[in-house]
Amino acid sequence: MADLVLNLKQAIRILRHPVDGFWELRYERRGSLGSAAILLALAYLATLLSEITTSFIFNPIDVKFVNPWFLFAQVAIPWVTWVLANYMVSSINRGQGRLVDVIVGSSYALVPYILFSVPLALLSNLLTIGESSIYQFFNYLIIGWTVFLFIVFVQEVHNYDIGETIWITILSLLFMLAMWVLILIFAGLCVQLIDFIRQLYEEVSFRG
Amino acid sequence: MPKWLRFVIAAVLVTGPWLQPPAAQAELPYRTFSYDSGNGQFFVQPAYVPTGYIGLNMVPPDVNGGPPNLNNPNDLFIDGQDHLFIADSKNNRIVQLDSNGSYVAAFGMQKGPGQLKEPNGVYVDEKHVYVADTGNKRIAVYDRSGAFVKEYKRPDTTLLPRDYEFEPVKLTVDKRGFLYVATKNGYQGLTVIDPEEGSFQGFFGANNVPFNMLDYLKRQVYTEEQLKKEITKQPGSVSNVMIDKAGLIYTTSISVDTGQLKKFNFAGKDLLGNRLFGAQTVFTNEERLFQDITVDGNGNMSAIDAGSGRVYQYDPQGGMLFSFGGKNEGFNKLGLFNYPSSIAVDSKGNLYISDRMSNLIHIFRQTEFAQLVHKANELFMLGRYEDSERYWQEVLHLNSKYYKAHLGLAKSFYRKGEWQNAMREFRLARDVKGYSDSFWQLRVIWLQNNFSTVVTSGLVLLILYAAAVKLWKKMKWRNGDGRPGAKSQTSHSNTSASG
Repeated sequence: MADLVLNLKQAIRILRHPVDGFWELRYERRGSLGSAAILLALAYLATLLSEITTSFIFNPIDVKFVNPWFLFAQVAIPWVTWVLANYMVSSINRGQGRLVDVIVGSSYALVPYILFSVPLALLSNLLTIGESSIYQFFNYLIIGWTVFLFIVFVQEVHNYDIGETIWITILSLLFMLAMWVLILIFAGLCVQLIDFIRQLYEEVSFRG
Repeated sequence: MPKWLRFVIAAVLVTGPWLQPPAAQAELPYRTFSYDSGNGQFFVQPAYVPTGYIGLNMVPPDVNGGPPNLNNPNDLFIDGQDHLFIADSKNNRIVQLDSNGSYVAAFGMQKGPGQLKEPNGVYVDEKHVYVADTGNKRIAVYDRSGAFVKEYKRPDTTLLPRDYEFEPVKLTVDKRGFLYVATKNGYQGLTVIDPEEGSFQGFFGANNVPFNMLDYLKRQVYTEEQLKKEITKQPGSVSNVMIDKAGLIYTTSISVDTGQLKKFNFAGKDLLGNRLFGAQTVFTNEERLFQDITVDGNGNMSAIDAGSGRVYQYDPQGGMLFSFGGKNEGFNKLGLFNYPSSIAVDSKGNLYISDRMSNLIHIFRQTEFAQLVHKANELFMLGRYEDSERYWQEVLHLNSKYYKAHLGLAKSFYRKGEWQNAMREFRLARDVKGYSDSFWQLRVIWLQNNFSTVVTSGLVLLILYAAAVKLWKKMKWRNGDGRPGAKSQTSHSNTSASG
């Protein structure tokens, strides 16, 4: 339990010292799958809360149309594919991170998003459309910070230099895209196959 | 009261509504919908219901008016006395009916210079009847008694391109008497003709050619020969034209991505702003085919889309009111069209829609719901928001989702300074700008009322923060941690990075 609290404290440390923070996460075992799971759950909660609490001006949808499952897919699918893509790409490019490290690191990189997206959503309730640039600025700041942490995570966990890091990040993103395309094609073919078998069965039962 | 009696009464009360005979109202063969500010489709109760048709045994056999039935009615016009003029193309005549639908006269039947050949369009003013005589490639003008007055042929000018064919299909005439003629495949726009000499005055209201990145790339990369092989892009053609009492000219266009309906002022500026009209989304094998537009006394526009067989009705600023009607998929019901060709509105607000394949003219009547919406919208457009409020409330009683009613109420509340209510209604109408504006007002008032509280609490918080920071530093120092110059124990050196 004390370990878990210590692991979660590491998230705050990563905000202030990202390079050291991720290094300790990997080589001093400051993070665990348990704390990663908590952070992921918090990330989903933050998405849900900010979707609900953002002012009508910046998110003009009805609260009753917020679909928690759809939001879950929106967060989970990119994250899971990123983890798989980054692990696979870096493991054949002399990266030192194990799958566990990639999972833990990718969760800790979400900390700015977890901490600041809900306060921003609450702040948006004080703003009008004329001040949308303030909202957008903070929005981009959160996204930029999170992306920055992901890049630092790749560098520190896999022990790359900066050039390698950028290259591996780009490769991971491309591989993510490739995965989605492949999954879509596979799903399409499966549907076709099922449809074919069903039609074959219908044809046979009709003749027989 | 005995228990069993109570039970019986309860049972009757519960099942009562189902025991009554079904309502006598006939089911309409189509659904009516509208779009909200966010372009979301929602269904509303019927706004227009079909009440009857014209077209069978319309011309009595004892007069020399030609065949009794219509054959390819392609244009309708309703004049100030609610007389209906029908361009009966395949019968080569214009039929005039009075407001009860009884036969008055037929134009262009007699042999001679006034004989018509496949007329496709008709326009009527106090003195004259103008006919787009497509088969004879001319505009024929009659007086109201049916006597041929004159004709306008292809203007004799070098300004018109040589391949320009003068085959008028629709026309309208402005107060000066200038003719605005839509020609077959008229991608140049409307041809404007001077009434005195019949000379060419220019083109009016042409569509633009769509241009995209791919075209740009082709122009950069292709050789001249390759470019010549490309199909020449032509702007969408103007399919119909009409003019209202104020002299504004309305057109419909086909093969365009936006600006299917246009409302031109005298200077030729489109007041509707080149928006998308008709269905928000169409399937790949369908297209928006706006064939005709009509404008009622309040400026509401009704346009007929032959692609979907639906009527789209808009307010004077192009805001969506209703869409109704549909394609005839073999049910042959009143209100469904095979190929709607024209639409006209009379002074009572009834819509007449001609179907050139079933050779009938369908008549639609406004429902109470549509009347309320029109009344409320009329007041709203005049800026009398407070007066319109009562009508919008009634509209909402009939349909709580109708977004225009929420918008009307919101503007009325805004005018009265009831910001909270305005915000609620703007939100229901999905109007972000209006919501933001009323919130701004509310925030200003709140700040004005609570200025001193805000500033004081801000100062108090600032002082507390400073004190806390000072205290924290002191505590840390006492614990022997965070001394100036000393490294914190929690920070870790990065020397093992070589591993």
